[in-house]
Amino acid sequence: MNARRLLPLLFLALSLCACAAPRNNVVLLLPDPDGHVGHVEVRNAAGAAQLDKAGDAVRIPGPGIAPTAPAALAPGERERLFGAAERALPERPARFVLYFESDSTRLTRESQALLAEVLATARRRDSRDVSVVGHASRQGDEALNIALSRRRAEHVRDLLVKAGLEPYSLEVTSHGSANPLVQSRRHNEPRNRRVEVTVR
Amino acid sequence: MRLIPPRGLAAAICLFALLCAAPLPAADDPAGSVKNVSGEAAVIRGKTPPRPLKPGDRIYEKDVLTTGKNASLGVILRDNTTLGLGPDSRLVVERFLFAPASGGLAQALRLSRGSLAAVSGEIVKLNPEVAKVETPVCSVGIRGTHFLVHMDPGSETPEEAAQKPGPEAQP
Repeated sequence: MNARRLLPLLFLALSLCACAAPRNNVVLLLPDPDGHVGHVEVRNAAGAAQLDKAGDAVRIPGPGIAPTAPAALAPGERERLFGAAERALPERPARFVLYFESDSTRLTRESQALLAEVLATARRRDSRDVSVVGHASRQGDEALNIALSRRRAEHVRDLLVKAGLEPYSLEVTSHGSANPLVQSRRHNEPRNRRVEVTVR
Repeated sequence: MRLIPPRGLAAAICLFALLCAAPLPAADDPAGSVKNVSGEAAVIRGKTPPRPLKPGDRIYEKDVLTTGKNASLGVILRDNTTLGLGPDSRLVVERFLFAPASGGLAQALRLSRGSLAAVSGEIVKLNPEVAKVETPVCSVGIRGTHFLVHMDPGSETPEEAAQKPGPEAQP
């Protein structure tokens, strides 16, 4: 028999397999909060699919069955499958960057004002998880940098506690100069001498 | 003729530098925290029975998060990845490492059943190769950023299927 004649039969067999398998194994790509559309890859032993268009979804009927080609979901399906999970998705954490005078734990004037906004945001969100992360510029010795960025972060933590935030909801860490905000040839790049506060 | 071509030498130095920058162990640093809970949501940590979750609770690597019928859970990870878990779900924080200072980045979640809404954070921004969501039927590689995953029950292992937020559902 001609192999071409067998093809429809093969498709029929495959679609019957798919019917018997779970129907709601779905991965769906959405636009990011800023409007940009990302990219996810869905892969198993039988094949792979790329999702890079907002609203596209693939189904994966089983571990040994390749993901389907990307396509939009049926109306109402997104709410049925994902409605509760989407409503439980927390608001994006708020980030604040505070700056310091050189070689000191003293906040710049502008950053002192921003601290009030940090507090207001933490209260409004009823936040129980606030990270205070110290960063340093690449000026001088790395060990000293880490020590200074930690002292700055601890100073900010103390200010926030004094203003009424619960100490147990605050966490302090230091990243030294390894995670610069600005890639700069200036070793004393002022924008890298900072403390980042994240209100979750 | 040179013994080592300069390009090969540069590659060798890079490799050596990478090996030296091995990440520090995550120790007891939390991987994230609970932001919101609705209905019955619990964490199973090691061999302990499920413990109900409330806002502010810290989440750690290896934690098994489960939600009951009509329940949901919101979590924010340390790299500002946000996660929403729908009803009848089981999510494991298999691997989480966010240590930019030492170059240590890893994020592997496992959704055995139920529904997950996710917006990825800093880890994916710093290295899009290291973030993934495993499921019983596929692996989802995350290069960014906002996506949803739903898994019908029935594909997970019997042990996973038995893990529910209520103590009566334990094996």
